[in-house]
Amino acid sequence: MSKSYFDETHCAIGHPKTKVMQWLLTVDHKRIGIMYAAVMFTFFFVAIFTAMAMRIELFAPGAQIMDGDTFNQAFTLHGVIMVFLFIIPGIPAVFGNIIMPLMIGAKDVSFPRLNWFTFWLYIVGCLIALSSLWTGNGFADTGWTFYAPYSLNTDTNVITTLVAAFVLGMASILTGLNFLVTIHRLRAPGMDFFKMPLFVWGIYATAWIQLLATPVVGITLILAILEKYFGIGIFDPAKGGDPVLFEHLFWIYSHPAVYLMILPAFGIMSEIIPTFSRREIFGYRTIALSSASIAGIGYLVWGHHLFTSGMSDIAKTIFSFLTFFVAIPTGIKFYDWIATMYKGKVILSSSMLWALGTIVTFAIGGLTGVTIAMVGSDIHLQDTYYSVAHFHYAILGGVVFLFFAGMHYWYPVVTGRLLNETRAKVAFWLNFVGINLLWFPMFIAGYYGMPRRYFDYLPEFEIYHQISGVGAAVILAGLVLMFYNFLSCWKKGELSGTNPWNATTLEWHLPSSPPPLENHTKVPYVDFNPYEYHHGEPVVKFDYETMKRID
Amino acid sequence: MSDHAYVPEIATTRDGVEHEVQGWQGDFYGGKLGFWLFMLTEVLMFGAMFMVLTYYFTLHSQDFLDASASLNRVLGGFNTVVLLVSALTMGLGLLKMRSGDIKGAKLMIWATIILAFVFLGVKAIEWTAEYQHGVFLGLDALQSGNDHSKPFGQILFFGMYFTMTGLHGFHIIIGIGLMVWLLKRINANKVTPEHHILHWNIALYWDLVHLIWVFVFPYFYMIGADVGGYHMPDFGSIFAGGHSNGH
Amino acid sequence: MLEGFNTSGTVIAEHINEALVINLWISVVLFASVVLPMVYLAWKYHESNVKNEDIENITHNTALEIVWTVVPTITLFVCFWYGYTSMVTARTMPAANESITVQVEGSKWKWRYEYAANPSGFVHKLGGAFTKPVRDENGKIVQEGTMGLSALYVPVNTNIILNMTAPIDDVIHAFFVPAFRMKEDVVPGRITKQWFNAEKVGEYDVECAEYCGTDHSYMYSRIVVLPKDEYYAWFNSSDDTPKGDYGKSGDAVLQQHGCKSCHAITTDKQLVGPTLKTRRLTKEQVLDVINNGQDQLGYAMGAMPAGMASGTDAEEIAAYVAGGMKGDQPASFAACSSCHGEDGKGQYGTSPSLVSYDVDLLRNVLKHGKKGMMGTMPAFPYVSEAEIQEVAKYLEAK
Ligand code: HEA
Ligand code: HEA
Ligand code: HEC
Ligand code: CUA
Ligand SMILES: [Cu+2]
Repeated sequence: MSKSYFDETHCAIGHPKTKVMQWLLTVDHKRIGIMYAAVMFTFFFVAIFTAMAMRIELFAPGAQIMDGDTFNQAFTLHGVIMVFLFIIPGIPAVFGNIIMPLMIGAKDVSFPRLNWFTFWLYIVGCLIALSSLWTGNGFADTGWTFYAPYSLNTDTNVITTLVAAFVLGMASILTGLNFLVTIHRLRAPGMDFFKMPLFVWGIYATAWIQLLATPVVGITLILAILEKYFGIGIFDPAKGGDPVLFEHLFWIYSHPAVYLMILPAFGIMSEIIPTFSRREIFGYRTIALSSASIAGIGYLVWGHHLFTSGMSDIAKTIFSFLTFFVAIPTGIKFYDWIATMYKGKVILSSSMLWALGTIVTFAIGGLTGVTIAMVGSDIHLQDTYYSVAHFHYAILGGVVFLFFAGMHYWYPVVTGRLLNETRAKVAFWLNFVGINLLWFPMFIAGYYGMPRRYFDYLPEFEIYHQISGVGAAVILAGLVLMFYNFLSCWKKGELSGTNPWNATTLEWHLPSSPPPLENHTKVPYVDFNPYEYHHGEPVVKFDYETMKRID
Repeated sequence: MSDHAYVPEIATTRDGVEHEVQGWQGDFYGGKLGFWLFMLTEVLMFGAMFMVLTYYFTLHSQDFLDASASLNRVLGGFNTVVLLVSALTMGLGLLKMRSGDIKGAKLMIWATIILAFVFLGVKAIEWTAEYQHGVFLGLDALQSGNDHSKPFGQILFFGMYFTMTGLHGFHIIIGIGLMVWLLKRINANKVTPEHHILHWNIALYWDLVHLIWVFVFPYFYMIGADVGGYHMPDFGSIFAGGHSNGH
Repeated sequence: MLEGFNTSGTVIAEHINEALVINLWISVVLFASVVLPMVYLAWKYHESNVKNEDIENITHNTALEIVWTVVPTITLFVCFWYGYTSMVTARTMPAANESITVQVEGSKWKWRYEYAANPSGFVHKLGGAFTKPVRDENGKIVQEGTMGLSALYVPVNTNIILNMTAPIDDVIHAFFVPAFRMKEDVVPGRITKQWFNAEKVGEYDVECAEYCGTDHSYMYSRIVVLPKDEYYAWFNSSDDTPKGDYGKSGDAVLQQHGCKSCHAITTDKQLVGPTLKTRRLTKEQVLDVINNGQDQLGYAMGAMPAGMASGTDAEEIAAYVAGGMKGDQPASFAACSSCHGEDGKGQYGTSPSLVSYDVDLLRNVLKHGKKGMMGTMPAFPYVSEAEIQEVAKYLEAK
């Protein structure tokens, strides 16, 4: 068997002998992607653990297993890990790294050493974040939004968390920068922007957001840190500072950040749907450009998080109006995907199931986003469980589900194996039923006035929280099954060959699976569109020795 | 990861036309593009702080003018000149490098380093003087609710002043480090007239650092220059409509 | 609880509900427009029904694309419009001279209301903290959580404007009345406003909707909408609460100043501070604690804050606390008995009852002594931890 990237690698410094050092020092984009996945996966279980603890706590009114302060730390820990450690690096760091260079026919990203450095910066950030669990007065209890002046007054360990968020932000900026240059410079000859696979478009739009939005939150966090250390006064009303300014600066980043999460996920959807419909995608250009416009408009709508903050009514109106313009390109994408199935040949494999399931759950998440984008409704629903349910549907039922779809889809590229399909499908259904049980009741509770970040609640909300608790257990079962599948098939799964799905993009035209260290034997000349099918068969075929087209 | 001469790959179309493939090694324009993007993030970072500054200026304009008046314009102005000259020496160094004059290039980099230290030295003198006047981070004057407290606007002004000049000074220090590293690379023959992307990027970085100062200086030192004698127009009344909660 | 949600007794609530209902139907239709075709196509073109030759690569259909861009856009404009107009309803303050303006202050973790002076110059100050439900070890509620009697009292069918703020060193809260569909942040150093006009007499709950720390989830209050004559009868008087069901004043005032969020009243439970169900303090002593605070007993929370109440209020509380609230002896207790009496219940005028003291309090008093309200309790710095525990256990058993 030919050598794969598991057998040999390039390193940042020297030529280490041991396997471990070869992993730790590797600059190979595929290995770095895998390491990101492994680390995220570990942290994610910490966050799931706190989520489950919260669900148990909320199972009945009153204290079950923790007191109010612990609960406040729990949802902060949950939010911080999920957002900063997991979902923002998320798909770009894992699939952006592993798959994107393969898709554009590059040997690696533009700055492989920087990529390696970024990974370790990310690790340092994670360690700083977790260190505050054991140092100082315990983990921050501010919520992941760190609103001033609460974050300035509390004596929990907010500084460490802020520093961690800052370091992770730097890692995110550098990743985005690396990908932007890669996509601009390293596309295979002939591949112009409108011949790029849609996942690459997603990563491209995301990279711009990472680059342009993160510095603002970076400096906001620095100001908050200085505020806590030296009392410079910027956000402290007792010194003339304005706490609402903090909210603006925070959301200038953190709103675009939610599109930073979803755009690469949409990219995954756009890969899976044509492959398993065995036909060209409907409306390639509109999908590509809608990613760009979501990224662009996404900058202008941060104020919809501040509808009840005391902002002026004119500003509210403008922000609300602009917010609706994000929904339009998203809607267009949805209809394009659906239309892609028309007169195709729909194969309901596990990855396709995840993709279609996400259409349902993200539609719920997105449409409820529209509800709270209406200023009037949001006056009532702001900071209730309605908005919590909205974003869990959007993140969990959108980003994370598509992340899973991607893991099923690209599993053969990464490992050279196939998953156990039956297990994968059972896991999907558990997750799908679970998420709806878990979060749908929360829309109702939110509408009836259940505020978020409540450790204890009025008895009439008990029923919703109990259904929700059951949903959390179901989803957990699904997760465990799914990860068991991933791990056990890594060694034991059937060999997949290079193109098990009959897909068309370049990552399926590698000489072997898993791919060799420097990817394609030779760089192909790309004079074709990414999803060319004829009667259900990929049009483009290569001779893998010379990478010349032979169709 | 070798530094061997890089041989570009060729991709061939179906008709046999050959196209050179851009690899990540030796991608001069890639390196430059990356660095420009990085500088964009720096601009955004300082840009956000200027926004904050402007916001508070509109709220507390008189306080800002008063506080600004108390800064030392002579030292600040001197530093501005130092930094502008250092940008010149940096640029000359790059020109010399490109024309093959390595010795001259190194000389110019050294000159830049020395000017950078002069800048830091003057900054240190300023901060020390301010410390002795009781105006410094963490001192009473910049805390609220005691006898020495300055008015809100001044607390905010000095908070931003120390933050931004501090952060700028931090960039100068990093710049010095980068230049020392650059000298090492030149000595090791890793940066040459043919392959000088590192030099180019560090020169860009230095330009950015002095460019930021060109905005920092007037915003902090000059706005209050006339307070005492002739009064500048009241910017506050233009933006804020005077709902300052300062005094 | 959550009183009054379905009453929807304000214009704002009606308008916002209308917006929500329209949005709901639009969402259902749009959801169906995506999910129904999806399910249909996945079934119709399932691989078992399709031969490879029948696959067609349709990539454009201009008419269809225009439809699915324009139609949802129109629906979005509808949504925007209803969101906008209902916001205008909620945010357009009525003229001040046709309204009653109340100052609202939110602080950790209580709401307080201050009215304009009434015709006789009296200023009503109301509000206070919610009393958390007290639970035993098994989580069973032994004392219901309640807002007691304090509330924001307003007349029916009248515009009420709330001028809201928080103390400058406090944090952001949000005044949320689910029943009225109204919410706005309360920001230190700023004044924010809300208004409402309640059409139905009744009680409505207030919640804090901006995260503010430990007791965020207990920062409740109430709005009580009264018939106009009842409201004015109260407003023109100097009573704390309206006549009728609203006024066991001692309890209400205690409530209103937030004592009950830290002190248990009817049980021996220690919340943040010691229980007040005890007779060991005189009126003057309680008054002293209220006015000057106290920080001697070594509770985790630290000091009992000063100035929780003042003037006649404070006197009233003091009288209430002082007047109304109420084995085998280990050898080591002998040292205590000389002052605190054989049974540990204190001797009138010289030493306090120890009956409700817990370990922390006892340890502190024994180690450092206690100076203050009733003369000095001498320190016993050499008492061992074991002895402290023993004494505590004994006292607890009482
Ligand atoms: C992946 C993350 C993600 C995504 C993609 C979105 C997408 C959207 N979000 Fe969400 N949002 C969050 C994550 C996300 N959000 C988070 C984390 C918070 C809370 C943070 C906190 O406070 O802690 C939040 C909060 C939040 C608020 C503030 C709520 C509050 O605090 O009161 C608002 C208000 O406008 C909002 C709106 C929207 C809108 C309009 C979209 C749109 O982009 C949605 C577009 C999608 C669709 C519309 C559905 C699909 C399309 C169709 C089915 C076709 C037809 C439909 C139409 C054309 C309408 N979001
Ligand atoms: C990525 C984002 C993310 C995800 C996945 C989740 C998942 C879950 N969350 Fe959420 N949550 C947040 C982000 C997220 N959350 C944020 C930002 C807040 C706000 C915090 C604040 O108020 O400050 C919040 C708040 C929040 C609350 C509200 C607290 C309150 O307001 O009082 C609750 C309550 O139960 C809750 C529960 C859950 C549960 C039960 C799950 C899960 O158990 C559901 C099960 C999980 C999954 C099905 C999949 C997860 C899988 C992965 C993450 C991928 C694995 C990784 C690799 C393979 C690399 N969360
Ligand atoms: C923030 C919580 C808090 C609130 C609110 C509060 N107290 Fe206290 N109280 C304490 C604490 C803590 C102590 C113990 C102080 C010490 O260490 O000496 C205390 C002590 C006391 C004591 C002395 C008890 C003793 O055994 O010596 C009295 C009496 C008292 N409080 C009455 C009141 C009254 C009346 C009010 C309402 C006006 C009130 N408290 C409000 C926290 C509070
Ligand atoms: Cu006050 Cu939450
Ligand atoms: Cu948003």
